[in-house]
Amino acid sequence: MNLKHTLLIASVIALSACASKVRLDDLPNVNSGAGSTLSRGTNNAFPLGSAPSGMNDASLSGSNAGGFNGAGNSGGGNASSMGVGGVGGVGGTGGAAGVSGAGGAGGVGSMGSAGNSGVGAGGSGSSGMGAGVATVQAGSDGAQVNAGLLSKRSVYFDYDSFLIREEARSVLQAHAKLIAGKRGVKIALEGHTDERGGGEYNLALGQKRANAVLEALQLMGVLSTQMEAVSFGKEKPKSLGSDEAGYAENRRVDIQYR
Amino acid sequence: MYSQCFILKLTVRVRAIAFGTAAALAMLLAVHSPAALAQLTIEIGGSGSQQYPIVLMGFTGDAAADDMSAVVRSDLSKSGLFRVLPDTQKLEYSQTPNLAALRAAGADTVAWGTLSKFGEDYQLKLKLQDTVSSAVLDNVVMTLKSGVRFSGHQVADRLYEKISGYKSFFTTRLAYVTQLNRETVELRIADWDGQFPQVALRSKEPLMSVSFNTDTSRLAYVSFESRKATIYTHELATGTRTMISNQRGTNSAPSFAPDGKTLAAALSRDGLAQIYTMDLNGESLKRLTQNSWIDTEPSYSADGKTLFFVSDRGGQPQIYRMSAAGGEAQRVTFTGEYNISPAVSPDGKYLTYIARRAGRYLTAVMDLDSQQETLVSDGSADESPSFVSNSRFVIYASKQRGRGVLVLASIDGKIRSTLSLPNADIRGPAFSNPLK
Repeated sequence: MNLKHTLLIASVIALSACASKVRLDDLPNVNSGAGSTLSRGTNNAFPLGSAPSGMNDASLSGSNAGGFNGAGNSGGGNASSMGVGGVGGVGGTGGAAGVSGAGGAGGVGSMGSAGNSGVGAGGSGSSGMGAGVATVQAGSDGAQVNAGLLSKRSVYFDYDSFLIREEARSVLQAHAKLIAGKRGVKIALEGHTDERGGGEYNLALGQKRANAVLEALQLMGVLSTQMEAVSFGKEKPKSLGSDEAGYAENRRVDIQYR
Repeated sequence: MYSQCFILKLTVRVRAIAFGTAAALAMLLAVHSPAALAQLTIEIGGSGSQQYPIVLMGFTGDAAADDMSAVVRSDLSKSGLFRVLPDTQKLEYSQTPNLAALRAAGADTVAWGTLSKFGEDYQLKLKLQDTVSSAVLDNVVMTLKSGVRFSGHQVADRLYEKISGYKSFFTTRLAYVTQLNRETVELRIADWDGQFPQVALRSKEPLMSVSFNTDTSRLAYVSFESRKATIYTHELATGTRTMISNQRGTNSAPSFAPDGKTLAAALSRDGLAQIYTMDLNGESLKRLTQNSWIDTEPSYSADGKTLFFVSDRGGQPQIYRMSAAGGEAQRVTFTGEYNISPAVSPDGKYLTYIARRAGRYLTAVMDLDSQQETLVSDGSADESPSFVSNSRFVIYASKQRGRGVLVLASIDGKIRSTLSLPNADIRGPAFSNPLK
């Protein structure tokens, strides 16, 4: 099976600095990420809005539409459901703004939040240009893009554990093989916890999980400069269920291409 | 502007009283808009030695007198420390109340007064009398400068302090985070009781760890708007936001030092979370803890000399203290295997924190001298406890029937008021110091 990847990362972060005059008796109402007066920010990690490059091999021509970079997870005919911006199809000829990658190994992508569902006829294993075009709504923000990640981008943990399970190793190996040595490709490792306990302490626990994945990928050849381990703690649960099944789904690290 | 309004539920252990609900509801009718009223409920269950029974005669005089009386009644009633008896009478400042009748109705004290306009300001002649001893507890002319509601808070402050002997807090601002739906989080600043909220920030991404600085000009908080936890300060008057910490990894748990010039925070830039301090520009970074464990949730004592924080260096998360300059840490909590989120009382005598006991996450208050611990909550998933400025109450986030609510509890756990929004989760409460 041909596994090929295009990259998609939408990161539209509008931090426009517009100073507004506000009456003192009125609290200014600030919308984060848009129109807020953001005075200084040091982003010494991976700059958001930059598209990773170097992921396309000869047969891929994945396009990047203005500010919106593709993130396809291929999978010979695999249906993938992503919050927004997920593109099932791999490789191919995306070109129009907001459209990325068509054809390839065939895939089905559905864009939840954009409301579009792109369906591609999976060209089972064939490497030619095929169907599988997913329409992506550009201009959605970076956050939504990452909702509903493919399970293959997640590794799961036991309760109160930071050990990488055996079955997760193959997932990590696949990612490591793909990006090892490609300095331009950056990933974020996003740690999550279940909902039990305090928010701040869970942030620290999620970070510990993300660090564990970072170290494992480092041993598999990925450079530490390609990765940033971060944590969402319990703040962005994948499952809202307050039972063991829900908890188990939330104890994870997501691999997020930037 | 807001169709949602706060629901306040007051629970006091001991025995129930019959007239509380209707009376309290009637008091609130005058204060709130009709739209808000439909959803507003108050439950007062109980009274006892903890509560001071008081009659507040409606103020006479200026047209704003009724509104101001209603604010005072509402404040005293919601504080949990008072049982405000129903009353329909008004009394001129110069008149004398029927103390025997008030005593018979169960009131220990009675307050009354007359309001007049004084240029742009108000002037209230106010009297407070003990119904049993007939002693006049207060007799004052108050000049009130800042509108009916704020003025009402100031009058309530005076009565609260004269009767209870505790410092009052009705001019305190309450910050909280509300999740309106999966896409919208708001950081709001409201009156102490959650009323009249203003939105300071609206975001699609989570916000947490909100706190005020000493003079209530700024907030610090953690926002995930750039796909990771970074620390912001936010100037309330202008809305100017400054991302002061975006180090590699997680930037979390900011805590203002009392001097207003330093922030302590937990950063994972060098591996796991460790305690650092920085100035308000995020510069002069100094690492205070150096180990391979998790250290997080730094919290200053009121004198700024001590930092309390959480560490799992003993294998489980427990609360420790160290000098605000760093150095040796001493363990503070020894009961149970999970104690997090410390906050010290302004008087330095108590520590509040979240204690996991038999699978429940409960707000606890420890007397730092005796090490005596009191669980003040009846919840199961509490978070983010902190003290009210008078050190007699704590506020924390809790869950009731699956919904996020805020609870104001006395440090002995005998009085609890619940604040909730009808259709939204609220969490992450923080009180400012009282406004002057």
